[in-house]
Amino acid sequence: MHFASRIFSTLFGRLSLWVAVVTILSVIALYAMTYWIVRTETEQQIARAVDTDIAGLADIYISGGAAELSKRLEDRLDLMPSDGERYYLLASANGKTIAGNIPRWPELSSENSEAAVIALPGSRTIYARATQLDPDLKLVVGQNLNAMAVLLNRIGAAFAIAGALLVLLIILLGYGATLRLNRRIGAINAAFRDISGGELARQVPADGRGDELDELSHHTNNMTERLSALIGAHRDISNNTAHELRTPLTHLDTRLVQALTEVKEPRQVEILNRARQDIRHIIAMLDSLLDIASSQAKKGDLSGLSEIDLSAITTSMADLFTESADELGIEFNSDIVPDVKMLADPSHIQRILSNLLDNAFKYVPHGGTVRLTLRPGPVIVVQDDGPGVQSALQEKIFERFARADSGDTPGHGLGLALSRALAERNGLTIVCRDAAPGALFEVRPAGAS
Amino acid sequence: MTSLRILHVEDDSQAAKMVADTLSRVGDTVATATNGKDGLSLASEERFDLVILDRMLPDMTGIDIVSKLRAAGISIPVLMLSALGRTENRIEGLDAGVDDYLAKPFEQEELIARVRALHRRATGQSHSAVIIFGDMECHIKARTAHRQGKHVALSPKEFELFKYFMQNAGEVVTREMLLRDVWNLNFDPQTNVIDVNVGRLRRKLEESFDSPVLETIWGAGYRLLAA
Repeated sequence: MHFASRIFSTLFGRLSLWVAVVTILSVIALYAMTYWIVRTETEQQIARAVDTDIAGLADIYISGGAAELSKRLEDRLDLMPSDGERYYLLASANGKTIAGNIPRWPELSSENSEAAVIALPGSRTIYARATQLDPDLKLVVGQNLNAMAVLLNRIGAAFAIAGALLVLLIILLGYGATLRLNRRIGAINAAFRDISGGELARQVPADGRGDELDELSHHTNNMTERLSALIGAHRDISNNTAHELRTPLTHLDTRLVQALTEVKEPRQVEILNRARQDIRHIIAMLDSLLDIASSQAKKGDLSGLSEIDLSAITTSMADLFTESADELGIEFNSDIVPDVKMLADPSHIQRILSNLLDNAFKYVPHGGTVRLTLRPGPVIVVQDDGPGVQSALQEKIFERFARADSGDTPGHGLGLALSRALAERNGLTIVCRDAAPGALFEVRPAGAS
Repeated sequence: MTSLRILHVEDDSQAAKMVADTLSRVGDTVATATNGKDGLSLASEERFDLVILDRMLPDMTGIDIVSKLRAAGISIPVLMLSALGRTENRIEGLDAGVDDYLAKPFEQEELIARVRALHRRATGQSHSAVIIFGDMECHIKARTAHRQGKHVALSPKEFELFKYFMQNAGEVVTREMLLRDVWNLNFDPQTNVIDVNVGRLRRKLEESFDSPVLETIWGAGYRLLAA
């Protein structure tokens, strides 16, 4: 039952079911029409035969009289088997039998030449017509209808068998076609699942039949090849940009190091060291921008993600920041539910946690509190009781180079943009809310509220 | 200090000179190849203690070279130097069979420390259940630290940090090495978390003793001293 419902839930399965239903209805209509035509035709034929017979017998009566007619009827009946086709009754006006094989006068008016279908003993049905030959003599001629009933039954049986065979054939063909089609579409669907999971080299199978599905497979393959080329180009541009910018910066740094070996004046040493720090700063910014671009490009791609112990990673990060909190005079609490697992890249999660904690520690004044929570969902919350983020800025701070303050706090304004890009790369999202007082950053699965 | 024979594959002459100067300062011998092909043939013809590879070379990538070396059964330790320094790039390099990855620009002291640490790791100076250095003892299994025979109470993470310093006793340990090996982080958190954590360990090791044990080396990292 389950299997059948699965087959009929497919496009082609449903189509087959419809074809079967339409076939059954067509066969029934065709049968009804045939039945009606055969029946009326046969009835008309029988009526004509009976009428011809009556006319013949009337002629005999006119030429030979009642005795001759009676004798002829006897002769006919002698030659006919007892369950024969024809039935006769020659009777007097009061219904007394003179000759014939109908036991008694039926309810037919001979004056009106009435005709009707009448039942005889022994479950025989005949079509009969009565006629008045002269005031004292009347005649009934009938023909057995059983032959017609047999014919109609045969036609019914033929239609039933042919219809059943036709429906069976349609179901078998439909089932076969559905299975074949399901296999081909299933292969295309499986390829799409792999492709959307990041396996861009995956080709959709095309078997060269040249039909619509084949065309669909070819289009899909062309599209993924293009996509793969674009992603490759994106990576090359990123790598080349990084390489081309970092190489001269490295040379610059090497020159500053050389200069430092020759400079002795402390003020000059400090300036040179500041310049080196600036180089590090530019490189960190460049890396963050490239990381954001790379994470955004890989959003939804599951390759490279594995099941990680989020609780262990969060605990380790909390541990790393505990000492810093002590030194800054900030109260740092963590509440981490154990054994929370998720599919993610561990280094991305570490980076998000590090950025959020770093941010909180940067903005919370001495004596403030920072709280890190992890609960199943997974939901990570970093909450502080610092100055908080104005509601108008709560979304804006996730943009590149956006800052919640005038800019005297260290940082390049990319931390939250990078955190959000990394979160989205791992199927998560980050929102900022008012913790009244302070700010609250919540990392949770994308799409959950 | 042991002097190492190092092969450096680098097309940028300025960078090659800087590496050669830095390492010869500590007594190492550096042979330089300017492309991947020469680098590969030198690596298979001569004996080196360590290979330093640039990631982007004119004829092939450093990743290709590592794959070819590993495929040829050459298990020499490889340090990759690269202008591609993002976490993603580091992981790609490590996945390709590189033993350590250092992004340009770097401090000269960092390069020296990495080369030494990599060589130590490769020559397999495995440590016993108890590491003794100066007046300090690290009991690996019992996870306890002692100085001058007295127990020093450490938190689990402080013990990991102490163990790492003991395993690299007398050598320079950089912040990046600590982040990677003790905290398993492939990026640098912007705050001074490492300094703060090392500071806490230092206080515990030096409290109520009169001699310092952890030396800060400017621009590089830390070194555990035998008091």
